[in-house]
Amino acid sequence: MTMINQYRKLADELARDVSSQNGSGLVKQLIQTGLLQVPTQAVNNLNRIQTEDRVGIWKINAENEEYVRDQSTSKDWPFWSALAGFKKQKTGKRFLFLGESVARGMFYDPIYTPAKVLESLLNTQLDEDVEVLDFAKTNASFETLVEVAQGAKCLDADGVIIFAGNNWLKGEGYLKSFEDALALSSEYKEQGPAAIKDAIERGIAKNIESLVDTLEETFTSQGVPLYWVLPEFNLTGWKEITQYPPSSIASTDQPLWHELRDEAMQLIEQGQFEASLDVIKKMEQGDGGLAAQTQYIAAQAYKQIGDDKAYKEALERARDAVLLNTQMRLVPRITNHIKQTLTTELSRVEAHIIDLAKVFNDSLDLPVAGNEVFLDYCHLSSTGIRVSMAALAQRISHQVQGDDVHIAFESALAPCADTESSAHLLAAIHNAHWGQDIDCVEYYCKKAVQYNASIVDTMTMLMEVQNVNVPTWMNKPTSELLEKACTQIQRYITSMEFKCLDTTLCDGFVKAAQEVGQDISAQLLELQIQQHAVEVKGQHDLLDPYYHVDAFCNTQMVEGVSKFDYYNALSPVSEFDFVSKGERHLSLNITCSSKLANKGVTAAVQVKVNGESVGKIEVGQTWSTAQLDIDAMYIRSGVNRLTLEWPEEHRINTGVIEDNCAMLQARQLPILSPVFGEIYSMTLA
Amino acid sequence: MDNKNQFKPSNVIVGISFGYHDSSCCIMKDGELVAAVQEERFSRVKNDKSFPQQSLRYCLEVAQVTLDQVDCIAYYECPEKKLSRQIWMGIQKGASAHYKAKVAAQLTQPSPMDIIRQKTGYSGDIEIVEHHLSHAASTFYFSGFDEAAVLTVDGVGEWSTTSYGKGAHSKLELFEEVSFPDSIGLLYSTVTSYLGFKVNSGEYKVMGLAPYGKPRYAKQIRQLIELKDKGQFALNMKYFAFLQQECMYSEELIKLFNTPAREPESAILQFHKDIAKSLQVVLEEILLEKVRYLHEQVPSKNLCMAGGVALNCVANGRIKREGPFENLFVQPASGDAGTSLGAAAVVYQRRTSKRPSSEKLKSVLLGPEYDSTYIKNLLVSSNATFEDFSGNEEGLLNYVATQLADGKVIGWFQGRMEFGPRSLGARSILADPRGEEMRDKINALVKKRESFRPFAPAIMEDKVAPHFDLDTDSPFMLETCQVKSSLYLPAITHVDNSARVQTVNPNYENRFYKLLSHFNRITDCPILLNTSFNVRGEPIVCSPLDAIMCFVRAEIDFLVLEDFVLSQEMVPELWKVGVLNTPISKQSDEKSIGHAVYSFM
Repeated sequence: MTMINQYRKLADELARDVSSQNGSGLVKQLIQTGLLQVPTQAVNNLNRIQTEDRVGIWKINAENEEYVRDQSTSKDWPFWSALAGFKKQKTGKRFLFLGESVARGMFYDPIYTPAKVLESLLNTQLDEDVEVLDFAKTNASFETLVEVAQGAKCLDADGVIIFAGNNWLKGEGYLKSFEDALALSSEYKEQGPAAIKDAIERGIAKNIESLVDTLEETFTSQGVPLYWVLPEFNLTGWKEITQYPPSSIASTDQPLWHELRDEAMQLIEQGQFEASLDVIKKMEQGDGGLAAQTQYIAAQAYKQIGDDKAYKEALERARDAVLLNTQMRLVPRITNHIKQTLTTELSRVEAHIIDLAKVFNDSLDLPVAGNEVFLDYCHLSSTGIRVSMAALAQRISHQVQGDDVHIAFESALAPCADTESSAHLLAAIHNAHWGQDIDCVEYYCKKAVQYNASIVDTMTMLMEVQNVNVPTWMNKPTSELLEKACTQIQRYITSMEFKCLDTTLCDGFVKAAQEVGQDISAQLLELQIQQHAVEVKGQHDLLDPYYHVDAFCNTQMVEGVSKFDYYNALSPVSEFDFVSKGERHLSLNITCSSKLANKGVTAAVQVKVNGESVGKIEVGQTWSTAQLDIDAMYIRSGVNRLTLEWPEEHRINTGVIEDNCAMLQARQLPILSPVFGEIYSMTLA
Repeated sequence: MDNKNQFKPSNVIVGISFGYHDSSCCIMKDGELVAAVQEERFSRVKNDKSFPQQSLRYCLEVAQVTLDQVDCIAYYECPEKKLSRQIWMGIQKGASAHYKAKVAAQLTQPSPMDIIRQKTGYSGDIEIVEHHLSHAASTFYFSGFDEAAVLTVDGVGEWSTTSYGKGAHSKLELFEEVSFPDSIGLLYSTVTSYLGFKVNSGEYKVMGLAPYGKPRYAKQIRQLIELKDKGQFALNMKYFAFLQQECMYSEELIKLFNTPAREPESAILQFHKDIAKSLQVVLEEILLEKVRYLHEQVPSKNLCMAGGVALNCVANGRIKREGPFENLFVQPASGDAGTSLGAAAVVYQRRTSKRPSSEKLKSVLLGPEYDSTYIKNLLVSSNATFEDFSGNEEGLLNYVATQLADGKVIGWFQGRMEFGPRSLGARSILADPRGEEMRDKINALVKKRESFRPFAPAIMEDKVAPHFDLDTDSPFMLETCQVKSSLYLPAITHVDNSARVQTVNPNYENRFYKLLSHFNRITDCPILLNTSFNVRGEPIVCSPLDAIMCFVRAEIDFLVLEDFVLSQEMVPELWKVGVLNTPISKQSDEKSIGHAVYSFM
């Protein structure tokens, strides 16, 4: 036998063995033991980023030593400050301002920004002229901060401000290495979701350590002071979308957990708060403290009892519990773990820490921050910006001049009414697109109108833009919108495009317009029917992300984002919107399953339209297709809501942990949220 | 509630190819091919290799079946055999540590069957069909020949690189194969890489470059491959590096030609053209010899071909003219995209013992279509000015033909999209072939590509004789022939007086045929320049929105979307900004393919 043939025989045998079930297990064991080396996927190396001639989007012109915006990065400009350019050489004191969207002053940017507020405060406070170079970037990651810091080290700064910590909640690093993923699979099997949480947090801690090392090397070791503004989260004003416990407790304890939850809520309703806390403890034993819903119920009880500290801690645990929600897009946030890690790391480089939680409490007597200082989950209102920048200016002033002056936030720049109006409109949009309810959206819409009644015109144009499912740049009213709206709205619309039916937002617009005596409801209805009515389109795909009810964070089946090409019901009730003329019956076609079902057993999914039951669909473990006629009497003219109520008995499942272990071993994110059912296709005609 | 399964059609087979390059999906109902499409058209990732999820949904929709009504999914190659070849590559002497590590990683990858099930939740049957059998079936079962010899040639599938087979009625068998690393496709890709073009996509550029050269290096090219008895041949591996490195060619190849490899995007010299020509000549020699061998084994009148190498229409023309077979059928989607068709056909035959299709494939209009109402709504919702020719086809055709005769370039979007690499009048850029400057204009301004690249003519099927030396129909642009027209046709005539002709049949491309007819009426020329509706690096347009973006980006004079016409002059400024900020082709680690070396993994 020739060498080629020998090798071929060997390769054939190996391939056959590896392809068998035993063989694939053996390969995994060999990798886990380190006997077989498998390459680690590319990991971002924070120290590898090189920047010589640029800071963010600004590139130096070697002839006059001026930085100007690099045209080749124009697509990214909306995410950065509108600063056209700056000189390499400073003339007075110079501070660099790095950070994320909160530091950009999202919703106010570029008209009114934290950097501008700080600059104005420092100019009144310090003896020399002060320049604050705004290098904050919306969506800035660890890598962005390192890149900007390294690019800016030649700018001879008198201090560097970093206002960041919200965008770090990505912990998939543990999946890059096969050995780590396999080890984690074993840990997960033994410890449950807590093992994943630990792994994610270890990854984040490593990144923080690396970032602080870079900043130390770049600035503090060179005598440039570092001021870190620790962000805070809107604990009372923000509601998490999914609050269910991780699916891994679903095997046997899930029904018990649901019983306990119902009992705890009942006790709260009856005013038996202390008793509810006992039940909540039992819930925590089941969910390991990793279910946001448990913590929200606990917060309710503590609030009623009047225990502010425990109330705040429960809300923080609710905020941090979503770390394991691998099925949904999370809004940015700083967790307790990030905050503690960052504080520890910063202490070794003697950085100045401005902790916004403390600042809000000290300045505004807010032990738990809420809508007073926030416009959404983490972006600050003008009050929040003024308070935080006043505290920062005070610290800088003390460091630079040694004075102990108190800077009142009321002395800081405030935006004009038009700017506030636009900021509140953008807040309404952002909250709607991140799944907040009509009360929240309506609140911001009405505030926008209160600041400036003519903002209703902009709302009407936005309503038209959103209701036509084509890219914004193709949309007829976009030109007019861009012509008439202020810069901050233009910037948001062109850089944060998200198309959806937007029923909550449009309803908010209608309600706000009513406040100033305008009725735009008929216009909305006409637009919706013209663009989306099932009768006009012929067939309506309810799984089209455009028609998902809950907007961006709940969107599934997005090309390049979703792991599955089918819809996963992440709560016991799935909701979809459709538009109809309401003149005739409609036919629902659905292919669905409930993998939680036992093999060979089917159960019924209740179908409702606008809250009325219209029939049931049998589901089993595998896909099956059903047709359901929906009588015209259930359908109204305009937007209708179709809901599917998944069978309760399907919540028991024993295979979740094994499935998740397999996913981890394949270096895939496990599914840690319970899935109540699946839909492959669903149309109305 | 009605259980829809009671209406279930029989024998619904889905064919799928993914994981290599050019993922695709097709669906057969009772042996009839209903739909086929490449995933790149939806995802806008050039050569998309990922699971074709959007294509699958499209196919189910057209076939009016649901996923639970699918009897079987046919996958186009054997993962175990492919893994064997990959392992073999990893244990070769001199294999780089990088490559060994990639093989090790491959050992832990989920199988294609697992991916199908995970991605879609599908729990029905999945059958594996070997790569070259998929290619062979994709050509024989759609050839219309009752019996035929079958030749498949590509880079590599699992182990096979070339296979010889015969088909009779519903039966198809492969009786001989050439194994990796000996591969005509890899020979071609290696020289493609040496010439500074992308592997897996630049091969057709080499073919287009060849007529500008002389076969001065044919002798050297012949040293790269040794022809053996029967159907066999062997690469002289000292000239190839792909077994050891992330590069196709070795230093020895550079020494052989005594010239460094061309840097991508650098000037193309006469040397490069001569290499391209030499390669083309040697390829034709090899294929002719192997076709003759195949004829000895299967003395049929008919030959069916598939595989990436079968897209070399110049070689096909020679095989037809000089080879022993009277009739030749080449699968229009000969590359890996077409394997989904073959896999589905094989599985249908296995499950029913019937031949999937007795008819010759007449049309490849198997992709999505968008009706006039949809397009009108889209245009009305935008702030564009457009002409509406609804209910006035005559007016539309007159208008477009007049503009073409006036030297304008037209983006032509009609009906169902083509399956395969060629635009055949459904998603085409059209122009007058008579203008001296037209080729340069479209290459430089519209397609933004190399100036040497040729364009193909589309001609009314019944007007071929006076213009082209072609004795049969050529609906899929898969053969070249000599131009003999009395008309001066510089834009579609290659430097060697050849052309890659598409003959247009009124029964299958009705409106396109009518447009040619109107153009003929105005100009006495029944021919149009027809090139794919995309710019360099972009998948061919699929939807009206894709077409609008390409129209704006390429500054095409007019866009015809079914019954509606948009003029470049009327394009809103905001559209230009929007298109400028939209990438030509999306990039994605999970979906994109590499081009430095063939996609062995």
